[in-house]
Parts: sequence; C-alpha cells; structure tokens
Amino acid sequence: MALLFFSYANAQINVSGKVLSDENELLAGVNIIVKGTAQGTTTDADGAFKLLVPDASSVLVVSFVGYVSEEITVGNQTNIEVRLMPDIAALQEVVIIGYGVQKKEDVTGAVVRVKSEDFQVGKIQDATDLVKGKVAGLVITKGSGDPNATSGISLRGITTIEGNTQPLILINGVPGDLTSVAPENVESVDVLKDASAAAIYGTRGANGVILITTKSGKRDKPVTVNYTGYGSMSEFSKEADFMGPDEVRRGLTSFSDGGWDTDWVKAVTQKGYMTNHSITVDGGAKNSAYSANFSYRYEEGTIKRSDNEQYRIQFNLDQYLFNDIVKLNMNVLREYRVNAINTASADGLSNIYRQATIRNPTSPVYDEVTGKYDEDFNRFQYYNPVSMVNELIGDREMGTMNLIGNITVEPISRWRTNLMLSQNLYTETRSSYATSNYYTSVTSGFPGSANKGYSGVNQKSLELTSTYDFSIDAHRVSFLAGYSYFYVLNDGFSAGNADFPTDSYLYNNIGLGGRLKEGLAGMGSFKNDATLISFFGRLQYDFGDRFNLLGSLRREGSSKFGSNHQWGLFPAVSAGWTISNENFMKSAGWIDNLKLRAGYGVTGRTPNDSYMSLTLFNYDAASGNFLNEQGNWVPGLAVSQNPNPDLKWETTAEVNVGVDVGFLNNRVFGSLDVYSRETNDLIYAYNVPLPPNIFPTTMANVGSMSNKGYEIMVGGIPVSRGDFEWKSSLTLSHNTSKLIKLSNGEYETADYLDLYSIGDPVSAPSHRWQEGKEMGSFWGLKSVGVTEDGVFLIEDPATGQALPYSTALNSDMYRQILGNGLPDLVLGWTNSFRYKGFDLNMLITGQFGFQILNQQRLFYENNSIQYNRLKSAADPVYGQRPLASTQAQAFVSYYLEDGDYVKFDNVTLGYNFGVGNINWLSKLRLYGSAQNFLILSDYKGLDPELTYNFATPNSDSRDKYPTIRSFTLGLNVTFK
Amino acid sequence: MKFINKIYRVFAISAALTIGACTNLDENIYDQLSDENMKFSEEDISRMKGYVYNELRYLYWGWNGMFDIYEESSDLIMTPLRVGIGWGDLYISMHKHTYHPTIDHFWTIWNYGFVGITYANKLLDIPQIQENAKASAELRAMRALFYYILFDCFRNVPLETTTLVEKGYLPTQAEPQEMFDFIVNELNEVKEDLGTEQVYGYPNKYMAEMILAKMYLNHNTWFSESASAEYYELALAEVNDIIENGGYSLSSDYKDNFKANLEGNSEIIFAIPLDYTYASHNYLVNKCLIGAGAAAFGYNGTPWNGSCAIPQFMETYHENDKRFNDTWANGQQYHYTTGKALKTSADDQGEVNLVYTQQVHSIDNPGAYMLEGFRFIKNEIVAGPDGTYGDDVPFFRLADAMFIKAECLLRLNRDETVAADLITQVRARAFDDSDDALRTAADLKGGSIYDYGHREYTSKGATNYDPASFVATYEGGDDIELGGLLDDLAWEFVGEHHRRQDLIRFRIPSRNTNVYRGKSWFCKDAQADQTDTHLDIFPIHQSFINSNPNLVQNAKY
Repeated sequence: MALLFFSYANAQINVSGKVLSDENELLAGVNIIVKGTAQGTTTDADGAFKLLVPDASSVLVVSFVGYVSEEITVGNQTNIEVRLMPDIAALQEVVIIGYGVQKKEDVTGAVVRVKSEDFQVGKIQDATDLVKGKVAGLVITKGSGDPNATSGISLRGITTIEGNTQPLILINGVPGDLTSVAPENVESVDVLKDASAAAIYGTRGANGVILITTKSGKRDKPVTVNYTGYGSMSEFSKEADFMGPDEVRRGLTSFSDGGWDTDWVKAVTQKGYMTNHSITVDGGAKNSAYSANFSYRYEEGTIKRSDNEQYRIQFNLDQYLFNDIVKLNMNVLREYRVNAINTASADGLSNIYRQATIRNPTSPVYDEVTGKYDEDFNRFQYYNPVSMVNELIGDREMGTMNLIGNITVEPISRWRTNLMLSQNLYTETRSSYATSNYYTSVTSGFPGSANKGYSGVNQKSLELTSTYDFSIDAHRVSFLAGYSYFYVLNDGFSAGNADFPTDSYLYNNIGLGGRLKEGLAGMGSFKNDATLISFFGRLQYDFGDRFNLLGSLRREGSSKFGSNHQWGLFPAVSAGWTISNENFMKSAGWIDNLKLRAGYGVTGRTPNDSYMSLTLFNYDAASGNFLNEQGNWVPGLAVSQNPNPDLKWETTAEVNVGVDVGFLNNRVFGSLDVYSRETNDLIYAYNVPLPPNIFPTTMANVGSMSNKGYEIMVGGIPVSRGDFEWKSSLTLSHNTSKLIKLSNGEYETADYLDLYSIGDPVSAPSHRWQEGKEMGSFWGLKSVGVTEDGVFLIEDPATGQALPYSTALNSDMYRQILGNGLPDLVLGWTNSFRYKGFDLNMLITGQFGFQILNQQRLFYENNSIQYNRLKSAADPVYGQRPLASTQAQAFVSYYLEDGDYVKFDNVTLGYNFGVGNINWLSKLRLYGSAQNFLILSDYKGLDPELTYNFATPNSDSRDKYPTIRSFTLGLNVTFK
Repeated sequence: MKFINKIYRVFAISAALTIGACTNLDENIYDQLSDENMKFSEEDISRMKGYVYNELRYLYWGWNGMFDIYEESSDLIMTPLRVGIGWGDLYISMHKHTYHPTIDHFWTIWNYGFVGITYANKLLDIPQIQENAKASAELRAMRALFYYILFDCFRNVPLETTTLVEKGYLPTQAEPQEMFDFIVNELNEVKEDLGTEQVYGYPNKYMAEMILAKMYLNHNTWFSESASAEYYELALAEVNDIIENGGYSLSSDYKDNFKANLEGNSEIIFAIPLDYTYASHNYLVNKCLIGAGAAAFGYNGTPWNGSCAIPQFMETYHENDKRFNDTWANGQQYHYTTGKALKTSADDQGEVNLVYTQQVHSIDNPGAYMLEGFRFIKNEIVAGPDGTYGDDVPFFRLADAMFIKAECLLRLNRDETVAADLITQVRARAFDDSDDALRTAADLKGGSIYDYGHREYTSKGATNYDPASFVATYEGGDDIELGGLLDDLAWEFVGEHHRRQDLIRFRIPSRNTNVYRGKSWFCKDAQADQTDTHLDIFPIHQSFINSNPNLVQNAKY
C-alpha cells in the first residue's frame, strides 16, 4: 500500500496546454477534468490551462458547451493542444415533435417551430399572440378588447362539429392553459399541423398540437438576469356612430328629449392601460442548470371595471447525476389571477356596451330628484349602463399550480428512459354581489343578490417513455416506446342568495339573504372525471441525410367512450426525400435545400363531456317536481339523456404533401404544404326521432366532413447591405371545409342543420350546414331593394320575384345561401428592418374572401326600434330611401358585408443600445409598439377581425366588448 | 450486454405491472345516477312518475305551449308586434294563420307531449307497474290525455305504447281513426280503476270522462265522413255521469277558479298544480302587462308588454258581465295599495297615464303601441315576486262539463231549455241581476254577436287612428250555427285552451266552413276557399320531420 502510494505520488505530472476550436480560435472557460477524480480546471482568456495529473495513464476530459467532448490520455505529453469540434447535433436546429425532438432536416410532417427571437413583442396577451401570423394555417384571431379575452385558434379549418376546435396545447409536455404561462418565459412554440405528426397524441390530436416550451437554464453558463417591462395605453379601435342629442332633438329616434347631453359610451369607458414586468434569472453550474421567472401584470380595460391582475412564477431546475446517467428535472409554475366581475363581455341584454350605445343620449345618468340611477324599465331590456358598471361588485380569482417532475436515465449512451409525473391544479373562486341599485335588484324587488362559487380542475398524469437511437454507416435509427396515463377531475360548488337587509356585507355573509328562508336561494355542486390511457411507439429511420421515414402508432382508450368502443388505434407514417443532398444536385449549387415530404396519419377526438354514453338518471330538484298524494312537493326522477353505448372517438385521416426549399445560401426559403383531411364518425348531438326518444338529440358518431387546403410560407432576406437588413416572411393559407354527411344507417336526419347566431327578437337562423356544401354558409332572406314605403324587397328564390318583406316570408321557402363566413385566404406577413441599433418590425395580417353579418347594423340601423339608432339609420337603403318605421329588425342580406381586410396588427420600433464597454450589461433595448394599428377594410362594423367561431363564423355580435388599439413602450435589459 | 438484458427485464416487468393497474377506464359517477352506480328502489320508480306530470306542465306552460297554441290562433287573444319592443314573427303567423313548420309553438306541444308519453311508456314497461291496476290506470289516463292534445293539434301522430324498441327504430304515424279508437278504448278500460276519489292534481274517473266527452264532442268535426249524432249521445253520457255523480259544484265566484291555489275548489275536476317555488311556469303576468302596470297588482317583476285582447271580442261582453273586469285589465290602472293612478312613459308620448286602450292599430303594420289592448289577467296575479308563476291550471272544471251537455242537447235538438238553463246557471255568478244572466235556447241557437271582419289601422303614431288608413271588412256573426253558445264559450272559457277547438267545431252552414277558417278578425282574414281544410290542424315542427324520415308532414304544409 505504501509502495503503491509512493509510486503514485512520484508519477504526478504537470500538464499545460491550450484549447482551440476547429477554426483555430482559442476557447476560454473550457472545462478540463481528470477522469474519475474531482481534479480539474478551466482555460483562461487565452485558452490556456495548467493541471497536475496523477500519472501518465490519466485521462483528461475536455468539455465545452456546443462542442463534442474530447478525452485525451496524458501519456508522456506535458504540453497538450486540444482541438474541439463543434457538436453538430447541438448546433443543428431541432423541432419538438412530441415525446422528443427531431432534427429540422429530418422532419417529414407539417411541423413548424417559432423560437423566442422571432416572437411578437408589444402588448402580448398570451402565448398565442407570440406566433400570430407566423405559422401558415394557424389562424389566430381576436375579436374582443376584454383584458381577459384569449384569442381564438384554429388550425386547418373545422375538424369537428361538436364545439371544440382548439388544438391540444401542451406546456412542457402537459396539457395546460395558455394564459397560465408568462409569454416572456416562453422559449419556443412548436406546431404539429398534420395528422402524421399529431397522431402520436391520438384522440387529442385532431385539431393539431401546439407545444409550448418554457425557458430553462444551461449548464456551465454564468448567471444572466433579464428584465422585460412595458406599459401600454389602449382605446377602442373604432367607435360606432350612434345618434347624439342633436339627432334626438331633430326627431330621428323614438326618444323624447330628456333635456340632457349624455355620452353614454364615455360614461362607461376610460383609457385602458397595462403594465407588465417580468424578470428571468438563469444560469448553470457543472451539473445543474436553472431558470426562474417572475412576472406581474396589471391591466385595466377600456370599459370601466374590466381588469386583470396576474402574478406568475416559474422555476425550472435540471440536475445531472452519476456522470450524466441520471437527470432530474423539476418545473413549478404558479399563476394567480384576479379579475373584477363585470358584464362587459356578457352576451345579451346585460352587455354594458350594448346598453351604452342604445340609451337615450338626452337622458341623465342620475335622476335629478331622487339621485338614483335614471332608469326607464318600460323600454324592453333597457338598463342604465353606469349602474351596471358600478353596482355589480365582485371578483374572480383563478389559480394554477403546475408541478412537473422528470427523471431521465441514460444507463448506456443513447438509451434514454424518462418518467414524467405531473399534477396541474386549477382553482377558481367567483364572488359577486349585485347591490340594491343594480337593475335586477330593482326589477325583481329583491334588494341585493350574492353569489359565491368555487370550481376546480385537477389533472394528473404519468408518462413513461424510452428512446434508443443508433447509427450504422449512413443509417440512423431511433425508437420510442411509451405509456401515458392522464386523469382529470372537475368539481365545483356554488351558492346564491338574495334579499339582503343591507348592501354592506356584499357576498361575505351569504346566509343572511331572505330568499334562503323562503326556500328560493340557490345551491349546487358537481363532480365528474375522465381517464385517458395510451400506449405508443415511434420509429424513425434516416438514410444518408437523404431519406427520412417516420412511423408511429398509438393505442388509446378513454373513459368517455361507450362500453362497446373503449380503445382506438391511431397510426401515422410519413417520409421525406432531401433531393438537394443527392449527388446529381451537386451541380445546382444555388439550391441549398430541396425536400419533398409526404405523410398520412389518423387522429381522433373524444367527446367534450364525460358520461355521454351512459343511461343516466337524475333527481332534478330544479324543474322536475311533482305533487305527491300527501300534498308535498318532492323531486321527480328524470332520465338525463338518451344513452349511446356505441359512442366512440371521431376519426380524422389526413394526407399531407409538402415541399421545403432554400436558395442562395438560404437567403430565400419557403415551404408549401397541401393537405386533405376527412373526418368520420363526427360526434354531435344528432337529432333523433321523438318519439321514441325522450330527448330530441343523442350524442353519437354519425356525420363526416372534409377539409382541403394549402399553406405557403415564404421567407427571405431581400436586402442585407452593411448596416441595413430587411427580413421578410409571408404565410398564406387556404382551407375549404365541406360537410359530407349528417346521416348514417342508424341515424337518419335531414341533410342540413340550421345554426342560430342572431339574438332576440330575430328568430331566424343565420347559417346552414348542408350536406355536400361548404361550411360557414349564411342562410337567410336575400334583399334586393326597398319598397316605396321603405320595406325590404325580398327575392323569392323559386320565382326570382321581389316580394315586400313580411313575417310570412320568414320560412325556409324564401331563404337561400347568401354568402360564406369562412375566409378563402388568410395572410400573415412579418417584416423586420434593421439599421445599426434600430429595428422596425411589422406584422400584417389579413383575411380575404368572406362575408360578415353586421349585427350592429341589423339591430340598430333600423327605424322601428325604441332604442338609440346608428346615424346610418337615417340614410337611404340601396340608395333609395331610409327604412320605414314598420320594417322590423330582420336578417336580410343587406346586412352582410364583405369582410376582406388587411391589418397592421403590430408595428414595433426598437433601439438596441451599444453596451460593449459595460461589463455588467449585455443588452439594453427600448421599444415602442402599436397593436391593431391600422385596418384597411370596407367593413362598416367596428373590426373585421372577429373571434373565431366555427359553427356560425363571422357573425359580428351586437353584444360585444369592442376591440382596442394600443400603444406600448417597453424596456428589455439583460445583466450579466 | 448482460447488464442491458437485466435492465430490459426489470423494465419489462415494471411496465407489465403498470399496464395491469393502469388500463382501467371505468367511469366514476359522482353527481348523477346510473344503472352502474345505484339500485333503483320502488320509490325511485314511483318518483319517475313525477316526470309524466312535469311534462304536462311544460306542455301547458313551456314557452309557446298549450295556452299560446289555443289562444293566439283564436279570435280572443293575440301577441302583436309591439312597436319598439318587438315580439316575433311567429306570433304574427299564429294570428294570421300563416302557419309553417318552423314556428316554435308546434315544437313545444309535440316535444313535451311525447316526452310525457315516453315516460309513461317507460313506467308501463315495468312489470310491477303493470301488475298494479291503479298505478297503470293512472299512467294510461295521463298518456291518453297527452295523445288527446296531440291528436287535436296535429291529428296524424305516432302511436307509441312501449319503450322496448329496436335500435334505430323510426315510428310512423297512426291513422286518425286508429288513434281516436286508442284514446277512447284506453280511457274506457281504465276509468273504473281510476276510482272516483278526488285527489288533487291526479286523474280520477271523471277526468277520464272529460277527455272522453271532448273526444266524442269533436268527433264529427274530426271525422266528417263518419259523422253521426250518436257521438253527441256518447258525450252526453260521459258528462251526465260527471254532473250527477261526480260530487262537483260550481264555485260561487268566477274568480275562484283562477286562484293561485285551486286545491279544495269544488268546481275543479282536474288541475295541473303549479307552485311558485317548486313548479313555477305561468308567465302570463310578464307576457301581458306593461312594465309599470305591475304596480296595479303589487307584482315585483318587470313585465314584457306583449299579449292583449282582440278589440272586436271586447265589444261582445254584456255591460254587466263581471267576467269582463275579472278577465281584462282595461282603462286607467291604479296602484294596488295607494290607489294612485299609474303613469308610464310610452312610445313617443313621453310620460302619460297608464291607460290600456281597447283599440289596437294592427298586428304588425305598424303593430301595437305600448298601451294598446286590454290585458289578460284572469289568472290571479299574486303580489310580490310570484305573479302568475305559481297559478294552478284549472284543466277541466264542472262548468265545462255543463257546457258540453248543453251543446250536445242543442246539437241533438232536444231538451233545449235544459241546455239554456245549464248556461244560465254558469252565468249566474257573473251577473248581479239574474235577468242579465238568463240565456234562452233561442239566444244560444242564434247568431254570434261577435262583429267579425278585418279591422286594422295602418297609420303611425300611438294616438293617431287615421280613418283613411283603416282597413275593414264587415262579416258579422249571424251566420254562425249556435253562434250564441259560441259567444258564451268565449266569455266563460277565454284563456282556458278552448277557443281554437271551439272555433273549428262551430260552423257557418251557409258557406260550409267553420268559424276558424271562415271568419276574419282583426288582421286575420277569412279563408276564401272553404274546401281547403288544412289549417284545422297544425304542421308538425320541421325538426321532428327532419329527425324522423318516416313522419309525413300534414297536408299542404
């Protein structure tokens, strides 16, 4: 032992040397350790190092981020020069394809990644705003100025008719809510567009998949601190032009002059503002990396008392153990949000903006004598909007707690097994109190009504995946096998009471209201759950960087399905051929990339609700009571639904063919995808005969529909000269959705469905789905002129004759297809200009080839109403004469307008200060940004960009929270 | 390699264990009941019976339900387009008899009717119900009632008696004669089992006899080819049993029959009990009154200002008929406690006295101004939040049986004075002076005093009745067979699901048509072609046709 020690000590060698890159740059900060010991050092600024090693057999491990690690046996060397080669895999761009990544060159499906440097900046509401206009086929629209409104998302048209067309959104691999994650903490957004890519998500993939990855730290990286802060001001992007006091006095409305001048819209609105602060800290040591983010935002909307306050904190930790054999990961996300309760976005008569626009501008806000809100309840559904803003008190508190833990084991190189456990808890508490001055209290005679409710969603999941990849010569193979268990539990409780002796308690002493004693207080609770279990596998094969093949299979079961069909199989296969890597293309040096892709996949969709297949009964205390023979009212036992044990998943099969190109050193690049998808066994509440059914509809798999379309992305750097650079990227998409069938052998129904989107008092459908026809068609009376009396002339579709409008025409006999609400073409165009420190980014969006039903005009460009009217109500119709006071509100084609628009969605001007000499600062950027800046459109309504609604698209509601234009000033600082 | 094999083995075993434990897709049901998570007791089964009655309430008072379908198509009540307020096309179609298959009225009655029938069938499929004579008689009687209503409205309806049907089963319509026979046979079979005990809200023998009497009374209208006086004899026999053996008696005050709670009222043969808390349905207070008019009754809500009386009908009342004020809010309205004259802002008039006017401009051109038309307040308006919402429905009452008896006797041309006496008896409580109450056989057999004809002002402005804009025809009611009796039916039974059936049954012999089609009132025009009888029944709502290709739409719709 002593001898051994002696010889060991004697053999110590002093080694020095330097580390260079493949391009002979000296590398600083490179790690050098003696393998199997804790001994080590790092290179200095000149790439040099000195180290005492035990003996000649010592092995040096030289590692540096972005480079392939080298191992060198010391031998008899005392001066060692190490040349590190860049790690191609690390530098190469990858995309996330679900349960793993894939090199961008190997991609065979329609998959798009948007990284943080390409995100939108400005007033960003949620993570979807970051990628608006940047992914062809991903249509993101926003039709509301509510601080709590999220964008509507649709990918490749309509794939379902039951109601949920939102893609599956996974945050770090776990289903989550878009608003829970801070946009500033998002690293990348990956979109799986076609079924060959999305099929790995089985029954949840039919609407596509959006994978959001949040920031994480990197090993061996010094701490950086980034602060992003901005403030913004907003106002309505456009205001509707209603009659003012002068017009009332001139007798252009049915109002009598109340002697006041009140701007009702002004009375309930304000300049909106928002402030947002976000700090991200990240860094890494040798065996660990972390990232932490804290974000705070507060926004007050343009309608008073509509606000949003949000706190978000996220922490990500990676720890490597046992020479990187084991990696532990923890990700914690906590979000807390609180909004004031208000009816600013309510649909119907309690909508604040609606009541503000229709109110008599010569009536006062407060009654002169009593000092109370001036009300006139004799006008139907007519309420003082200032009272609606002030007298409904309460808040909605939402909290998300998302915990994810990953254990990755890589016992031998390239065989990785990962166990992910996650729990996601969402809770919402809603408290509201309508004071004794609120209109419902005044009309119902119950002073004050309070409501308090809680609801929660608890998601748990377990995922076990294992991957192995290897290469032999030009063959590269990669396997994935996995198991996933996903459970969701919903529950809630609510209580309501009214008739309080004082307004002072608000909702905080809810038992006190008199309605409880009368047996008329409300109380309820619910609870339901669902389980989704799947097994899946994927095989990827690449040959010679020219041929790529990807196949996946998922077997999935859902508790929502009927007992006869619990498990489904979802296969996918896709292939790619990179022609530009072929030898025969070598001569065409100007082509950098030319790749053909083709894929086929099957995805599914489960019903929205649990238990739809079962025979359910319910003691319905709300409406199902009968008098028993003792004279007591006891609840009756109701059948809850028509059962359907055959209920199963909806199946979407899709073929996608694409081509990617890149020219001139990839200065010009683009891709084209063409797809065709057919969905069968559409889940819907189908009309069933009554009798013999108890309910007129049964949730069943019956119909089929198709979507066909193309997506084009073209990008490039048109100008790059010295200090000036112009980058541009254009996305275009076209989709046609067609309803094929609404019947099958078992369920026979009519070959159409009428859809309603127009409120009281118009009781006519607005859209019709007809077998064999495009979805989104407007269905109604075609107006062709006005009579001498000022009544619409309606074309009789049978005879072509023009008939004066009367209610007798309100039947299908006189209706026809009037237009279509689904756009033919959707455009997103991003331009960024850079000159020295300045940069200018512009996002232009547009939609073309569709109609909008302008309900604001339908309801208020009308002279029969007892409410305030649009000024245009006095204008001649069809250039002839204004509408008669006998022309009731009706849906006729006169109110359908072309919706085509081009919008400067976001314009941002920024300046990056040179920070070269400051050793604690690495970035300082100031920017100003304008959202919804300029709209070019002939549309007469407020904003032609409406929240996506697949069933009754582009029916512009009268009851809305108008969209806003906002101006933002922001600061982005990174400290080192 | 050995090491790898070991790892694989461990992995495979743990995966197998996981798979065994984690492929369970059973649903956990928490807030509902299903065959899977509960055993149904006898009590649960009997509680399902509640839905047979529940559906009857919805059929009657569901939106656009039985009240509306019988009254809004008649010459008594309408829901005009209220200038500046709205109300929809469907009400105008109901008034003008421009029926089409997408009017919601035709949905409500069919939907709830058949749901009630299906619940009854579901229960009747259960052996323990079948073995219980009383329970099955009750359900069969209720089912017959639903079928009677559906038959009267649509005539061609499916006849379903069980829920044990094959998957994808699509019913077909029964021949009218088959349905008629079914209803009659069912009621005859069960009426003894129902017993004569009066249990409030539940059918007994006399309720079954009332349906039978109505079936027989209308038989000759429904089946003109097989019309026979014998059916009036059959109807007579049913009502005679009710009148002589039922133990019912007329209530002393007409208004007693429309109180919120009718339990204990000796005139009521069958009622649909409602309750403000447990079964709140009757929306008439809101549908009829103007907002500020609620104060005349101490009602807390804010009514919607809709339905009102047809002005010509108002002219027919005898000046001393107390039923006029019991039924119609008319003229100046006063606060229910202070007696102060109520005011309201209306139309372009600014603030005015709240005076309901008899005159109404038009159904839709320009429509009715805010204070136009007398308002139907026959059902008690309870002060506070209740209004009419908890008012029990007097579905069959003794006066109805007496009227049927009188009508049968008059149609059989015998015992005419007995007939006149019956009507006079019913009228007696409505007049202080018995001379005013008296109706002779001649009165009843004579013409109607209803001044039929189109009457419409198309001029605009709440108080502007420009004679130049007056559209009028004058048809009168002299040519109506038993016209006097028809008038009496209106005064007694307005708003009691009577009028449509009566107007179809009463005829204008000279023109071989019925009053329903053959006369004009307000903005509804007489039908020129008396051979076209399709309006006597309603179209089946399109949604039911769409969901069952075996259903054939009624002719000419």
